[in-house]
Amino acid sequence: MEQKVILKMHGISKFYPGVVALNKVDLTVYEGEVHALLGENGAGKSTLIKVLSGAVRNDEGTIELDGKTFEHMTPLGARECGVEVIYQEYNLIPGLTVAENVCLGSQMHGIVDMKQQIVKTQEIFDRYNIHLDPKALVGSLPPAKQQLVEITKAISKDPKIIVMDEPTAQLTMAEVENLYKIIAALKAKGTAIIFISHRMEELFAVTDRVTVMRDGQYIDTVNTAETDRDSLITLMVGRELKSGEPRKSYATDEVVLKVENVSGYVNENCSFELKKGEILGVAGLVGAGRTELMRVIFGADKKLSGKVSVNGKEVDIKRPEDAIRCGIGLIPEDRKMQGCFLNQTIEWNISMGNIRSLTTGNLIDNKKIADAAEKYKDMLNIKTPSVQQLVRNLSGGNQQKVVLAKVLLADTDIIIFDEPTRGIDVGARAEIYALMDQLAGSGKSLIMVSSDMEELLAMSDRVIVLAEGKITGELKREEFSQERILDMASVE
Amino acid sequence: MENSKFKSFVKSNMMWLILILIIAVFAILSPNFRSVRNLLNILNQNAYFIVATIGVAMIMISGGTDLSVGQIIGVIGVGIALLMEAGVPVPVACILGLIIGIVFGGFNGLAANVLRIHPMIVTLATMTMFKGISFILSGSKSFYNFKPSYLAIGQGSVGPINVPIIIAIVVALVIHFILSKTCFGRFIYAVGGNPETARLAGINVGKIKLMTFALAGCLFGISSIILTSRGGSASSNIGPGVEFDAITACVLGGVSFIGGAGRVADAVVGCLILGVLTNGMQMIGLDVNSQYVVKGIILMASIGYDTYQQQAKVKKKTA
Repeated sequence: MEQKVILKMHGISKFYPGVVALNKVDLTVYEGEVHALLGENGAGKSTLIKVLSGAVRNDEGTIELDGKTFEHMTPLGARECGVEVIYQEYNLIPGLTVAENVCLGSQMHGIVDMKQQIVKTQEIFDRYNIHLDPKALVGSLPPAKQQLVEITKAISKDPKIIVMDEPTAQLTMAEVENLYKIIAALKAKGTAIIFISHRMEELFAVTDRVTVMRDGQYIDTVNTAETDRDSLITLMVGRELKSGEPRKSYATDEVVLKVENVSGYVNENCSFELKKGEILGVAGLVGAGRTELMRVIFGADKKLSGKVSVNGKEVDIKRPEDAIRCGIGLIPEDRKMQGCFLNQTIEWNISMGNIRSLTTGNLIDNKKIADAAEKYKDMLNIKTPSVQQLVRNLSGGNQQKVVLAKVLLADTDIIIFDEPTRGIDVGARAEIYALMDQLAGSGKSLIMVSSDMEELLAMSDRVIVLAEGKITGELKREEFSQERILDMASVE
Repeated sequence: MENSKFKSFVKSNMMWLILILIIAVFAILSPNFRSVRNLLNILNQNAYFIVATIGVAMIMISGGTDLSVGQIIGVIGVGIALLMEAGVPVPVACILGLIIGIVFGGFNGLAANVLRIHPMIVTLATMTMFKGISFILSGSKSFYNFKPSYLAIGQGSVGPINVPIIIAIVVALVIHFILSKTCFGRFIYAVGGNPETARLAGINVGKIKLMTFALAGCLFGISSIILTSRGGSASSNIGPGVEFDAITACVLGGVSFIGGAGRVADAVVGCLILGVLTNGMQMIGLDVNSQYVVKGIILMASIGYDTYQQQAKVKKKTA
């Protein structure tokens, strides 16, 4: 059967300073096809979609859409060519009704015809068998229903291509089934759907073809019917592991942190141990509950049940200050929003890690603060003319070093690193790895949450894997392989 | 290097230079204005306002706002008057007045913490609540005939310097010390600058906010004592209205409205600019309504200039 090509992205590249986000990526989508985009976190799927929707401008390559060729796409151009993207973060206005949201932007002048909006929305609902009240306020709907509104809004524009970014992340099984039906109906109508998901079983349930990406590169496009889970995982991971010198392990047998059956709002019955001098890697896909588990242990989020023991003694951690007192430090995931005081100086930021150690007679000692700041500036090689510089003005890598310095000042024996190298350049990364190695060597125990599989395997003595809030596996260093981790991280 | 140091000095003390400029203009225009007596009078008249504004500045640095200040000042004035009427000795009545301030301020902080809503909304509600309490207590009456020992607080002087001025200076120094030299002071900046970072750094954000509101409440008590003892009367209508002037003075002086930045000196200079403007315009014979217009223009111009500078900085950085 000859299929009509609706979209052809050819040789798309996108360069950021120091990073190649996309490297000559191709993507061809047929009319009426469900096409999966598969890859690890950071493989470049989102960037590619943003190039398609005009949100990001590609540096190289062309986009052929419905017979027209573009050097770059613009948001307006994409919409005019019939591309609609449903992002993970819904783009709805909670204070408006379903119908108003669906019809938002379709009428730019004059008096809004509410009745007509409701009729139009109801028509789409009927056609796709969606059960929703067009007059309901969007803000009062659960996430799954909001997603239906997003989909309806996209359909109302009569698009040729709908992109769905992780559409099932927040849905229950029944809701997923419902979504599949809508996808089938759209497909029958000839609409092409680009479907981004981590969940293997979904790919096999709804997609016709799969394009695999890795590290910003196009790897392969295969027919879903002619492949299986294992070969897809191999394509995703692909490369052979670089066989460098393995990191020397300083792990002892002494258990410093014991987590037993800990549950939070996201996590369920998580148990693991951390040993003195060890670097414990925590792997999992985005949304697996890794950060959440660390935050529960640290007292930043509520622990619903379970036991945490430090050095053999059970501790009751209700707030972060309890955790720090028990000797647990956290380098948070989001350095700008959770790690730094952007409008304060480097010196000021570092001092907040443990201001009480920088006092004389209970009063702030500016000399001690300056000395501590200088010490960490040299130790971590923070590149700045002065510790009086505002943290806002530093590069990502240097900001992260300030956060590290702040946590190091508290001198805790256990340090949790949550995505410590996200978005920072290669040089600063290497320095952070060296620091972690040095800390482990000096008898500290580290937990490293990372979506970067390579760094996780290179740094960790042991890895635990999370999926859907639960710990699904543990691997010792001799058992490490990306395939095995991905296998444990993907929910069947 | 010397040049850039001078520049940064000018930048961080811009409002003081503007104050001096305003004083100079009025001094040229009006001989009455430029007498030492008048300048001391400005300080004396604004002492209560400076103390209250310093309290508001602390709350703003911690990331909050307080719209109930005026009512708190009113309630305390009425409370002290009632206590003294009932025969409570003056010092005890004053201390109880400060405690009323701490309790009401603390209530604001507590409500903001427990309900997890922005202090601006909380104090919008408590402003109404405190107003009711104030009128219930006062029965809409005014109180006069204070004991001489109470009046001495507001009307006395040490040498040529009025007691309210001395109180305001002491308060400014103490709060400056707390903000710059104690851990508690640093935590106020941390909580206002980025509450989530502060929390993850092990700071009990709720406790710091509560303590800030309570300490500010104590300052409102001091402010109320100065105000009622200087004027020799108390009523539910004496105090309300201060809240917006105080926020205006803070913003004018350079205390960040979103929190995390500001100094006691900023609050003080903001108060002085407003005070000098009011006095100076009276001295040159401008009517009250024109005064409002001029004040509004100056406020908009100074804040607009500040924002413009910030944006220019950002543009330079990104270019």
